[in-house]
Amino acid sequence: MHHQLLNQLRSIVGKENFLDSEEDKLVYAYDGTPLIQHKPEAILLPRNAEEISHILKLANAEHFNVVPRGSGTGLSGGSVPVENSIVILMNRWNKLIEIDRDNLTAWVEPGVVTASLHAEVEKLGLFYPPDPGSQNICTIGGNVAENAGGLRGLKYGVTKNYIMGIEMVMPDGEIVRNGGKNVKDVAGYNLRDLIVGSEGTLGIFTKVLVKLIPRPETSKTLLAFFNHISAAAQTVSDIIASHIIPCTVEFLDNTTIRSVEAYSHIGLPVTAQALLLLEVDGYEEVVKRDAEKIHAICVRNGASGVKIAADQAEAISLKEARRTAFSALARVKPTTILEDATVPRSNLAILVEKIDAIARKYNLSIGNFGHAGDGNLHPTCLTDERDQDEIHRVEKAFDEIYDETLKLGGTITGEHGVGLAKRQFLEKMIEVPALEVMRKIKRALDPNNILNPGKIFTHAPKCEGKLPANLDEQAIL
Amino acid sequence: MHCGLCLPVCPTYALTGLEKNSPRGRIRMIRAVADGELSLTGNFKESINFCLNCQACVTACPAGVQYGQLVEAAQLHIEADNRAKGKSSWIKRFSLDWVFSDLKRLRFIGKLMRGYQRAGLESFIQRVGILKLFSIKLHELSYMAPPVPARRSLHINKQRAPFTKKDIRVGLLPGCVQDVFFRDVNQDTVDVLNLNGYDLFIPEKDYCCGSVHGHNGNLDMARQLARKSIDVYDAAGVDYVVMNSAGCGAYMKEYGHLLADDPIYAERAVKFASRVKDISEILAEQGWIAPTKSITGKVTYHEPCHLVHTQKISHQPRELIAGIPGITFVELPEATWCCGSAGIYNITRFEDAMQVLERKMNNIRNSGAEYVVTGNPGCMIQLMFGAKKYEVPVQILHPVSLLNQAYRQEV
Repeated sequence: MHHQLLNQLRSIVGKENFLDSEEDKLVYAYDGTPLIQHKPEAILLPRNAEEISHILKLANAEHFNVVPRGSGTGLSGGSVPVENSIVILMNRWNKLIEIDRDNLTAWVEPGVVTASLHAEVEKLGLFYPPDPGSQNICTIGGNVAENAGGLRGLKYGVTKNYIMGIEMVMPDGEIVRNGGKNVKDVAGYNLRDLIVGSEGTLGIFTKVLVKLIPRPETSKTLLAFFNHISAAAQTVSDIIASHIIPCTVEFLDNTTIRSVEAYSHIGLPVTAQALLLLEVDGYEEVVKRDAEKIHAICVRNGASGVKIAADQAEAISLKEARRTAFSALARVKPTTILEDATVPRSNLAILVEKIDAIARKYNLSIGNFGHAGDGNLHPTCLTDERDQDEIHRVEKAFDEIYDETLKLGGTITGEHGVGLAKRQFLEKMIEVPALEVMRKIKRALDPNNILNPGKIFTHAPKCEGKLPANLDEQAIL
Repeated sequence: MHCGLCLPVCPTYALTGLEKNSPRGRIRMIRAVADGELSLTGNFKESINFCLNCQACVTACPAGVQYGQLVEAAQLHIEADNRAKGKSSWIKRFSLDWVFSDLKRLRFIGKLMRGYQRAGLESFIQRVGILKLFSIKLHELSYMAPPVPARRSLHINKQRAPFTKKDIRVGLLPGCVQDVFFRDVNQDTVDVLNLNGYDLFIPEKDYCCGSVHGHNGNLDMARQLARKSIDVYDAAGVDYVVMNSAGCGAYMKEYGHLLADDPIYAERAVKFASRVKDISEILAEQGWIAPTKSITGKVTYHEPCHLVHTQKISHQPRELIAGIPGITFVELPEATWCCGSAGIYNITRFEDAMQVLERKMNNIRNSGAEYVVTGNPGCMIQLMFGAKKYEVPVQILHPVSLLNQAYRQEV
């Protein structure tokens, strides 16, 4: 990027909010996604919506790319810079603007950390359910961009179910506000549902209005261990069939159990083939009754052990341990490649078996964990990026895993987004006409393709072997 | 693995919100330097030197990344480069090369300070603010030193007979900073161990663990001190070496690593390290006599980084405190967050250390505690200073001192 242009950008945000040292470029080249990185030309920390608007207008005029970023914990490369791009860093926008206790809403800035929103609203007896694995550091802006899920998705849904309004800067620099505190509002197109999950390609958020609900009175957390994965899967089906909707039903396989235990030392049985972490919440009487029923269902399905958390502290430590699953798996091998295959709940056990078979076929070590209640699985390949032959087998294996996922009526990503990491699978998943509608929307709102380009959509159909040169822009980390 | 789960626990990331000041960013830069992709730039040095080395990120890392070792290697590399270029800061060279290189000099400084404090010179100079003429930092720093007690030798109080007898011989290491500023903590340690029936070995000469040297680039000196300690305590035939300074204990537990390439000492060092115990650790393992007389007051516990993150000791000191009748124990919010003392960080990076300290003191104020208990002399100095600077009405105590206060009432 020309230094004159960089100077122009510097003068928009002020020199203290403009970073372009080699060191800064290096550390904003990645997010939480393995194997993908690319250095930006500069990192800007805008102070208000007008500055963002100014930057985007300049981007259209001067043809450079803009990539928004929160804490950089995404798992699909959504905030990884692309060629000729600057990063807009939003993590300092961390004010909780208003909690409206009458309308049960909160206006927040996009850089508010999800867990701190939880803490603030819970002080008032309110509740914001979406709780992604990285909730202690990920931001609301990133959650909205990726339509993040979490452990409580089964009962409470995901981020999109809690977004009532968004103020944002559109790719052309216009500042647009849509949605509001009305529970019912059918005036015009529902823009906010288009924006949630747009992966930073349709606008940069400056304010978000979230929906709150009353905080559940109490909760109970159970752990159940099984000698066979199928028994765990049957347990989940039976729980749902008996009309209990737990807020959390998490599944860990043996590889994951061992890794998590090595980190957290909470006494998980390392020989168990499957573990279910279940939580029910609500009114005391209901919670008690549901927990007893779940306990009985686990036993009936041959659980080798069922444990009920003694208190909140133990429940929290169990859930925190589950949140570390992805990172804990990195203890086993140098490189951890995480996927996000999701199928209708009833097909989850079949998918797990298929993945096991594929792992054996390609001689790979794949750990499985995920949100069993949602059918959202995170098969995680434990490998070594320096072993080219193995990495090639990993690619083939994941191709097959996604084929199986789609055959089972599933999706290539349940909660991480497409980003850079999964775009080559998108065409397998979405039919050409529908995909074209999406591309048209992107073209209409961002005709110069300056906002987070290269994410979600590939420029060309996927081909076997090496990607075309213009796509192969990310160096291997 | 670069998932970012280390970010929320990093004090310097919390202060700046910038990736280069996070563990994840530092690791990426260290890797770039190691790969020859980045040279030892000023920005790189600044990011690394800004790190408190509190190792909260190591505790937080599910993947088990050993950040501490990486950043320490980087710090050694940087210090060597600075010295080669004659750019090492005077305050660092003075404290490391002169004060800490010989315990006699530290004692001497301690004596000077005691004289200076007792003659009323300290409060005079601080009131007049004469040091501001030289440097504002020096003026502020002058408030940091706690009162230096008179030097008495450690003694086993014969009037206070042990409650029980144990067949365990333990050695004490009185330490450097602890011994100058917190002589009473050492005496409390002697009393508590004696009352709990341990057979005590107190070396006639003083020995230093070598951590200050090791952490700041003088590995030869650190190894020499480590070998000396191993000789002395091995010869005394102790079962354990008991520490009341988290920083020293943490370092001595790493002697195996420090002397791994030493043909004579490597094996002995591993054995020695396995015998090093924090005072709260050994009491929790072996059991201790619960005091019967009560102490009233609201007490909270600040976790020294070198106990919780390095030695993974966290519940033991709380159990000691909770075992004292009459005490109301309150949890300190963010108890595991660094206080900013961090070795000599509060001297070499005073302004940054103060920002970290302010957060800690706000948490202490909000806890409403009258006593803050913590088991590391560096933390004690920093928190005492914080209480003065931010006007928080608390007393800072070592857990062993609180326990001995309770015991003392029984005699």
